Amino acid sequence: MPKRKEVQTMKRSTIALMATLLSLSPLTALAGTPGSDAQAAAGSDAQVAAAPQVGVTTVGMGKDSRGPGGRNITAFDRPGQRGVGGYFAQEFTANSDGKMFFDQRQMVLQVSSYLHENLFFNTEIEYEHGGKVEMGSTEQGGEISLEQAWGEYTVNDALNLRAGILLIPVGRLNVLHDADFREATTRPLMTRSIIPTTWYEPGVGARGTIMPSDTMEINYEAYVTQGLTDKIEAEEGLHEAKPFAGGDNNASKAVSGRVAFSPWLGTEIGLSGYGSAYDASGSSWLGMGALDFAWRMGAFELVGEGSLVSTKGGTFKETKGDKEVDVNIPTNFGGYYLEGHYSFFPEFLRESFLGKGLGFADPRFTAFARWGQADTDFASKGATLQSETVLGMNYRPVPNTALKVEWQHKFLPSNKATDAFISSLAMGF
Amino acid sequence: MRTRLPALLTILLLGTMPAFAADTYEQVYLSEPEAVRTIFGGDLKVDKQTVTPTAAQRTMMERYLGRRLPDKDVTFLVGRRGHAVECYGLILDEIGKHDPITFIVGVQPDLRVKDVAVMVFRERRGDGVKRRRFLAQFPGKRQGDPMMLSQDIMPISGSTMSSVAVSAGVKRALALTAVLMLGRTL
Repeated sequence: MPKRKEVQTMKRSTIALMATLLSLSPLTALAGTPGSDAQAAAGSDAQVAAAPQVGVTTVGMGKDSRGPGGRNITAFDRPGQRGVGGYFAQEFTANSDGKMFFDQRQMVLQVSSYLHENLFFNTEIEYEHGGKVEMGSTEQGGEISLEQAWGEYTVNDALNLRAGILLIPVGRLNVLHDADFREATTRPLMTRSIIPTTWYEPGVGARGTIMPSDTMEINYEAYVTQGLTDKIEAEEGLHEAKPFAGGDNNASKAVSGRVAFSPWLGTEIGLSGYGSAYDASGSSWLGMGALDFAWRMGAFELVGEGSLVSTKGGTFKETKGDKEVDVNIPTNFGGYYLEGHYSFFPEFLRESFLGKGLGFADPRFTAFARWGQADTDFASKGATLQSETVLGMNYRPVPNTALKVEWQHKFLPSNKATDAFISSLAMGF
Repeated sequence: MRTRLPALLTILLLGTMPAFAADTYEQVYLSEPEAVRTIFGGDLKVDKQTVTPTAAQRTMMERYLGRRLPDKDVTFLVGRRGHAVECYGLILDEIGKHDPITFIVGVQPDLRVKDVAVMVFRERRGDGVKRRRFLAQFPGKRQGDPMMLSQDIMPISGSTMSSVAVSAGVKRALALTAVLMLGRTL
């Protein structure tokens, strides 16, 4: 057993050695603890605790084992300012055909980080329908997808360079698709088959905002991306043609862009387009044009978008049962919708359980109505035309939480019609 | 000296790299004298007047606004032409998404907003609220107007929390002026 004096001597020698080593380390400079101070600190026990303040860790310059994850690199070891958020949507649907079900529609995690004044990273990871994916099983599962993952370098407001998995900037709703931002639970018909929301592709490009005056704005986005595949059919439109993030069916790349003009706050008109070769040889091109707008006056808002798609036609192979069949690619298709919102909150409810009774200072109701159509093959002369009317209302105790109820009447091809009652809870966090 | 060389070289190397963003971030658009000029113009005599609300006044305002008032005392800027008050001003802080936004609100004696200007913004995003595009909605608003998003105020997209903060601040300024300067009840 060493004596107490020996222990003290060993302890001081060890601390002196550590302090010397630390004075050699670049981390010392970052921590703002001069080596000489650390050496001096080795002289007495009272100063020992204050000496090696090596709390700053910079990835790429070594890893401090005293960080929050020990030697494991955690988000706290990375410099920058970051935020974690996302949204959640649970739906309940009762159809006129007797089907009634809950759907854990979305659970989305968003992680965003400023790595530097001009360097920004953003990602959106979605667990859809519970996110249960069983490869090779016949059980209908959910989906886990990376809908956004991009890095951006800001040159100035007018030029931001972006690369990664990008939302295709066609129309309004594909980019502004978050459940807590939307008033209705259901998305317009055209956002399934014409602008296949949520539509994302890997690629590169730029976006920016130009401010010609203090009230006016012009926004743009322009990208080169993977491009759609040839899985374009009259039944589903472009829904199945969205590409795989890790490969392409041809060597051509797609171009897309949107320019939006907003003369003042509350009014915006957007014009967008998309062009992509879709077949394996890269010789058949698809072109898409879209027009969208948003107009707000006080508590009233009207939004809408419309899109037309033109292809060169052709066929693609699809396996149905144990047979491989040729499926025709429609040449012209399109859709549109108009949606109105009116926000209000009756004063007589302000003190009730819908308002201050549960501690909500500024709750609101929004009534909404939508009319829309989508036709996935104009050549079918109405056989593929679908229409919908949606009427509903939501209650928001706080801006990013909505309890929604709506009735949807769909006119399907062959003179069929369905009705559905849909409710949901959407929360942004 | 030799043992310190790596540390010194590291400092020099870091000095040549683009600086990583600090956790605190502040954009100053207007100093206090500039903000006062923006609201009062150059031809009014502007004095400061600090008022401490009584318990009853505080309760009334907090009930009306639906939240606690952050300050014990309230300092008004009072713009006079001769003896007549032409405008009151308040420099306020309201929390945006995480950090306070500092702005000035001018209120006319008839309890209408004269103008609003953002002085300091401390977050990386959401500074669109400093532009006339957003602030042009406030001049002419009266005490009693809801000043709520999607009712009579349109938010800047991507700056919802900042839009809420400025709107709430303007509503607070009108209530403070009504009660503490003009002796009104809410």
